[in-house]
Amino acid sequence: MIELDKRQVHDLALGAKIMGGGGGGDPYLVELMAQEAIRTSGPVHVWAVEEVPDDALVVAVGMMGGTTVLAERLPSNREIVRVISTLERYLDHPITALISIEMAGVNGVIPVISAARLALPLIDGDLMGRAFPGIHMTLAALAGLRATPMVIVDARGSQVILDTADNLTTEILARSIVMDMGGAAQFALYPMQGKQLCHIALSGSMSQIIHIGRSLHEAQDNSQDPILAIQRATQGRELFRGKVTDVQRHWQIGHDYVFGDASVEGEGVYMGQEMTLKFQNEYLLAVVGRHLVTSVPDNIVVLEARTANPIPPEFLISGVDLVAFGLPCAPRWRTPEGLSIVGPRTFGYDVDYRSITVSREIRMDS
Amino acid sequence: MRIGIHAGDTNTHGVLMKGTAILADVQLTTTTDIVDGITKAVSIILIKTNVDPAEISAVTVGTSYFSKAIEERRNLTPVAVVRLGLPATQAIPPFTDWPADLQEMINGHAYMAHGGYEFDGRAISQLQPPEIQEIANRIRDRGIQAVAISSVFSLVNPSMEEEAAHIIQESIPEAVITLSHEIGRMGLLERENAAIMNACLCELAKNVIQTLQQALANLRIHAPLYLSQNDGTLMAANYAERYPVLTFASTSSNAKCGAAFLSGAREAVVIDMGGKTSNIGVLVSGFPHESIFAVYLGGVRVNLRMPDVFTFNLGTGSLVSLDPLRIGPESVGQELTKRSLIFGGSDLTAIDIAVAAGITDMGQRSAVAGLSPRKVDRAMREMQRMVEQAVNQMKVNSAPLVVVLVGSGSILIRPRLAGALDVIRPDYFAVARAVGAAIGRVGGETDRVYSLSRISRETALQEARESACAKAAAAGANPSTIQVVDEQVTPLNYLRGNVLRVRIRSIGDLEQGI
Repeated sequence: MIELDKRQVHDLALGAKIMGGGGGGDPYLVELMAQEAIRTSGPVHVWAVEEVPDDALVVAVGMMGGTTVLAERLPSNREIVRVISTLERYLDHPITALISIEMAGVNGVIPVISAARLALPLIDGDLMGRAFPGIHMTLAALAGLRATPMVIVDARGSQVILDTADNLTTEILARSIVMDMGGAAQFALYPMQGKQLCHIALSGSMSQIIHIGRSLHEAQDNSQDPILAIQRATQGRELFRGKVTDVQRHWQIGHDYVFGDASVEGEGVYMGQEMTLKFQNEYLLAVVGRHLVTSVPDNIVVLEARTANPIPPEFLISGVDLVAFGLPCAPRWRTPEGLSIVGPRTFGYDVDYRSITVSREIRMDS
Repeated sequence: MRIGIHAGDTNTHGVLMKGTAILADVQLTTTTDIVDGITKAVSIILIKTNVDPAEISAVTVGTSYFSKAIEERRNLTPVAVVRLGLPATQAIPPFTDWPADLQEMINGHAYMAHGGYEFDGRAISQLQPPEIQEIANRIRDRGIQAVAISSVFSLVNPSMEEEAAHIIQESIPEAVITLSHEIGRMGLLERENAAIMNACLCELAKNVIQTLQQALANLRIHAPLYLSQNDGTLMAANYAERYPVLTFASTSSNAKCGAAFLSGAREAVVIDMGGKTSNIGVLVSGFPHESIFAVYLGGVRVNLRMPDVFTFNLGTGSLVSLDPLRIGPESVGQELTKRSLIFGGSDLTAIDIAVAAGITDMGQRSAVAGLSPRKVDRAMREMQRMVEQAVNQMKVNSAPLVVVLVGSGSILIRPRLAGALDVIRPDYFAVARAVGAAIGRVGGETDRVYSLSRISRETALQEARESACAKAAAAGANPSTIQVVDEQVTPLNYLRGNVLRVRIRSIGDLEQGI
């Protein structure tokens, strides 16, 4: 059993911020909350997935909605505790441990706040392996688990319990509720037993994010190339480097989220080539020339070339110099069942999944 | 005719311009008394040119004085912060993540009250006037006169910030109140931080600006005074008194705008080399490229509109050791003319190397004649390498590009750089910052959030444009000349795509024209 102290939370937040370069928001504010929680309540105990007792009751915690809203209407601290107490009451059973729903952006760090405040152990793992825009897009859902009963609590103290027929319905209802709650709310969902969890959770993903954050901190302290440090720590494949020359966003009937296209003009070894990044809340497709080089569910992380600051899609503007990395997704996402939940077609793109681990490239017929 | 002055940390520069012609320029060492230095520069220009002060149509001043006051923690007034947002926002109270010394100096207490809005304009809770009144009483009892007010989503609706300000102003008539929606962008903590910093500088700003206006009047200049903003545009003196935080990045922006004007380049890397440090930034369409990330000022995270600048430690006063070779990061700064060898001092500085290498002539060349030519050459190559490395870091792609060298420190290097298509060191390079101040137009910016369930996209954009133009007018632009120069419309992430963030910049001519 390991413990998360101040320094590890700082590394975790930086790692989650880097992974947030693919979506999921900047964890700056939630790190402040996590550090404060650890300062007042002590370090957080971490359980490895295999250490979780079979009869443990585990739930995933995090926030849902706009990260811009989170940064404006800051949380009250109470909602993070209430999601758990309300779910415990509904289930009539104490919750034993917490897990992150997605190990990227703000939701990589929020479970630390909950675990510290409630003195519950946190599991070294998560249910997505990256950021996804829907609460139904989890490895737990893929394994047939229901997301509900789910509790949603907002900053004003309203709370809603959802108990739904299927996970997509949970996402649709929860999204509507969160919009009406002011666009951001805390949740607890996917209650599961320890013996289920060990087959579901992506084991060790929190340690990996801490490792990424620490590698970058060390590179910064030693004035080493931060991009190289990130690439080594993530085992990511460099997809492209260049300058953003155009960003377009368009609204499409039948889709909740705005569709974005960014054109990137190559530099260095990519001179003379152009990459198009297709994005919504996350970067979803990378097309170099006419070839699709990577697609969701593999993770596309975009960093500013000079500073290695992650650039989530909402901040992407023309004139920015970037490096795009492809990171492999959890192997379970690559199955037909996985792709039916998080493949390119579920995001409205009529292309087949393109893994970064396959070297042969597929020609795009525009 | 306009007089443009830039009072930086080390040097004060001034120019007199008529249309696009530079009639006179002046360079002085920045004085501890900021007004003295500026007034001296203006009077030298008047004497040099024998211009009738009545012919001056505007005096434009850029200064790092206020940001330096924050960096050096001096002349700051305690600030009471009132945040409207309960029951939300308690997890991260005001002054969270501030450097302890700065917080101790200006924390005049933080109050959290009910109020604030949701993104769609609904109230989180209603503003409670008795609660605000009680807070006002306590602020008054503590004798605090600088107040910063922040409200959740005040960029959706500023009414509650305004109403709270009204109640506090009634209770404390002499209070100087900064409202977060007037200066910052989306992100409550960072916008509130910017409002606090602004509030703690208001008293200083009022003193400096009013003393300066009086000093100009004593020189029989009755033309309006403008100050340079973070993006290189201008604001009228009475506006600047209320928003001193908007001057923080004017040094690098004025240098870039001046470099664009002097060189004619609209897409370039600009290196502004001073006495202690050099700044490097990019010009896009003739404007300083903006940073997309939050910035830290004096150790505090703020979300003001700031140029994307990279600073490295090389300037005329950088201390040099030849064996082993080391340049900077320490600098003799303002004492260059006392401490460097060529001015009779005993410290070897970067300017001594440049004189010894024969690329510039200044002071007593004989004082550096004894230096080993081989070692001088190595030091020269090192300075050249420092600049080339910075250019490499800043460039947006690997294509060769135009580099514009400005600032008095740009005499340190030869105008040939690896990887640059062309290196321009334009005439008047040393006073580029003052030129940037002199040629400025008046700017305004707005950052709003609209929920399209309540307003049409076109109406929302129109309202945001009007707000940006109204800000430029309030900052002193001639309303009939104001134009929108930049529009960014982005959806808020993870919300169904009908919530828009709209950022608009506008620019207009000075009320009097040139």
